[in-house]
Amino acid sequence: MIDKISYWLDAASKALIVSFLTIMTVVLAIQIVLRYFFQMGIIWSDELARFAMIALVYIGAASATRDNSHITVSIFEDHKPSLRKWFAPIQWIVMFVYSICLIKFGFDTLKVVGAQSSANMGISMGWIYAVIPLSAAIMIVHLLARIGKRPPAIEKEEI
Amino acid sequence: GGYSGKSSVDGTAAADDNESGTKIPAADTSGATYKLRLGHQSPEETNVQVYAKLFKELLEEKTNGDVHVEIYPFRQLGTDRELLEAMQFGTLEFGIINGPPISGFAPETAIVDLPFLFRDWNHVKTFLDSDVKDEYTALTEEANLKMMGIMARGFRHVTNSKKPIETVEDLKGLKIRVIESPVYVNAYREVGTSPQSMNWSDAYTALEQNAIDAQENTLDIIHDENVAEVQDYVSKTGINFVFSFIMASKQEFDKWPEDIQQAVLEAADEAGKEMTTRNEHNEGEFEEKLKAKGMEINDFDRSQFEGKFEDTYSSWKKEHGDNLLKKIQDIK
Amino acid sequence: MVTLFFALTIVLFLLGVPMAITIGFSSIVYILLADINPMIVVQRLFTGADVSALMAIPFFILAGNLMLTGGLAQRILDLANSLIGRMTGGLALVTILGCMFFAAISGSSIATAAALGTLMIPAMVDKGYGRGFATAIVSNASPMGVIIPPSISLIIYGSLSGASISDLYLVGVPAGLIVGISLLIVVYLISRKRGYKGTDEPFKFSDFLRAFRRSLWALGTPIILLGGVFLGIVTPTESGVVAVVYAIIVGMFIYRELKLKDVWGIFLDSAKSTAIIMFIIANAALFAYILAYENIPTAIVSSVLSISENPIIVLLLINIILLIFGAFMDTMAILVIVVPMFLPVITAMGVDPVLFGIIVVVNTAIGMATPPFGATLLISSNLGKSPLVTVARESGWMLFALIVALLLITYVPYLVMFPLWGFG
Ligand code: NA
Ligand code: NA
Repeated sequence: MIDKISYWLDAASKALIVSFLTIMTVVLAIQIVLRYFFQMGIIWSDELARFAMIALVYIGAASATRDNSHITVSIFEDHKPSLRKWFAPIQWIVMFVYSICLIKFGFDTLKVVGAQSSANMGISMGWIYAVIPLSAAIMIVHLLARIGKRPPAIEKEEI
Repeated sequence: GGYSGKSSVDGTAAADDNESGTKIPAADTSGATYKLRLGHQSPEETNVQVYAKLFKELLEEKTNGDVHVEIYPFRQLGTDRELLEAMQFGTLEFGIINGPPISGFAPETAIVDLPFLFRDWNHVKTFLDSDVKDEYTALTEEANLKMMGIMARGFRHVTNSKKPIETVEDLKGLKIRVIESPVYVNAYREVGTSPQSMNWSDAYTALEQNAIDAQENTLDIIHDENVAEVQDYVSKTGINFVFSFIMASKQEFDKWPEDIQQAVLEAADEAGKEMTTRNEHNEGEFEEKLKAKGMEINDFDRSQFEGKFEDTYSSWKKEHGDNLLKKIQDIK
Repeated sequence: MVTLFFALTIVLFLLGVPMAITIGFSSIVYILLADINPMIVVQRLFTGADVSALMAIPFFILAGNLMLTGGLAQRILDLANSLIGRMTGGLALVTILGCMFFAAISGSSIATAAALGTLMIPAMVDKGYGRGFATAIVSNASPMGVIIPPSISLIIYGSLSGASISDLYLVGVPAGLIVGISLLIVVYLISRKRGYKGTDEPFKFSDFLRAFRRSLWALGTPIILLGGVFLGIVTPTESGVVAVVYAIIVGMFIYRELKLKDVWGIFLDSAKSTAIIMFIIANAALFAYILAYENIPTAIVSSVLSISENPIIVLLLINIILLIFGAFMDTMAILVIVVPMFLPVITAMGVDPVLFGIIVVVNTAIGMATPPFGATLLISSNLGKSPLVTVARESGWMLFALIVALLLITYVPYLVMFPLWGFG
């Protein structure tokens, strides 16, 4: 069950981050064309692109938790792979506690920043900040789906 | 992040070209009961830092050292928006904030950003001495922010690299970087320019390379940010007037005993008044400095703006009414 | 408590907790112990990514990946091969020269490592080069991606320091040449000692001309990107968007090697890389906040200045500190944390912020190739299917060459600053 949820959440995350990157590219490309050829400016383009990037970063970070592709200093594990079974639970706990904190603090923060509106588009900052607790929740699902499985290999093949 | 060079309201993100960036605060804080933090986003050689130091001195003196203020300049604790948030959270006691970003937290505060609102420095000073000011500062209470001292910074003038701007007609088609504020953007659209959205460091490069033609700022910032290196003309258009505010976290403020609160309010108010006087006085000095750096400065007959900002005003009135607006306009 | 904070960070690092979460988690622990309102955590994580200049990262990574698939990278290598492929260590030298060319069209070292690693490591192994050595060449040469403009690192440094990005770009070219030439020399000497042969085909001008013509569109990229910035058509951050659009057009319609069905995968991979890198930057912003809150930058500045106020010694100290940071940390995290710490010292000593910028960027570029943690080291070792320890061992002399180049740039600044200081 949790495996399925993790799978589908990740599929959705991937579609989302591709869309965000596309939005960033298109919006800024239009801005350049408008400014250079038509002497016009869109005042919200930078803000929209930045917000898309923030969403991309957090949703993408959650996705990287699923396939264990976060950047890691794994000198000891590389040197002595048998250490992995001792280290993996500690790594799991730290990531889990981190995600729980982001959810808890995230919701508290939303209550405060929800009243604030963004400088150009005038949308509630609550909507944008919400991506942090949301992605932390996705991370937790991915972490729960890992329980009972072999510690995931660090993305590297050795010959 | 706190250190990152994202859009700063008045362009204080650009080079800190001073020679004295290494003063190490080594104040003896042993006797202080209250160790309070003040953050702002401007470099150290700016009037905002002078303002911060003045407030610190006055407050420490008034409380006989019971309060110690630590100043964190140059975005060490974040830019304006982040400082305001930190005050809402209660993680920061004081911040010096440039006007416009506050409107994200208390929309009606943008009223002083309306174009062509203040006739001249006298109008500004009378406003600061009036009850209308108290009505204005009360606007941020609901957002859990206390607005205490006000420093009038000055009129914001347009600089560009093409020609002196003498008529509203000259503004037409100018690609201008304005600060991130709908009121500013609307106003600059209404006089025919093409406002661009850009953070300051990008804007500085864009000005350097002529990707955009113009920007607008107060004379002191035009000077401090080395605009002279990338622009030739300063035209004293003064479409907007800008203030910097000493703000406090309301939740922290409410925790302090009454005598401390009183001292904080007095110090902020006195610092603001003193800085306002200095800024008005220094405008001429900055004009001379800019001329010495090779900029050409011209006067602009602001009466041309009469009736030019009707859309901006009518959309303001639609959203916020005209109660406070009338009061400010009616100040003689 | 600050000691506890640093100790926790190091222990979590060594236990293999992801880097971003290591610095984020220890910052959270600190904030809870210091009784600071934890909402600041979420705010710093948000604002750490909320920076316009950082948009250069996704765009340049995306552009690099498009250029690889679209055939631009291959054509650049063919050109390099026609120039020096015949020499001793031909393919190795071609890889370095290819990195320099590719660096001039890409703003990202990671994209450079991905492009050159994919194309050149298998080719070198086929010709009898040691796998570890082949991989190490890509790991050590691809950091030039951020030294030679366009460059994500230079854009970010410019936005942090206020130094002019076009000045940084002008200085980046000679700095990249110095680094490239140092690497060419060392790799040539090693190849001669180990007997790696070149193609031995005589140089034929017609071959060169053909390779040159074929790579014209790829070679046109720096003219469009840098020209766009210098002529003021686009901002440095926006030039990343132009690179993306240009790479799509050339790859799809001119070289016809980029297929529509590839594009989804490229966007996904690029988005993922961006997220992984910027997740570290965002957490580094939280970490940097604690440093500022505890006044640690001020303490460091005063302790460095108490050792000496002589620029030569201070710069040496800063280089050593940066190289140590670079061994363990990601470039962007270092930029976010270190630049604001040292900039006041540097300006106080009268060192040009542009020169300091190139010194910092070269340092962080070296950090990409030094063990235990380095972006190009990890990617190359991954692509080359060679263990990190082997690649690190094979990197020794090349790292030495990089450090020599760094010292040259630091102590003979005229070598890189002449575009700004003039020939007077
Ligand atoms: Na480059
Ligand atoms: Na490293």
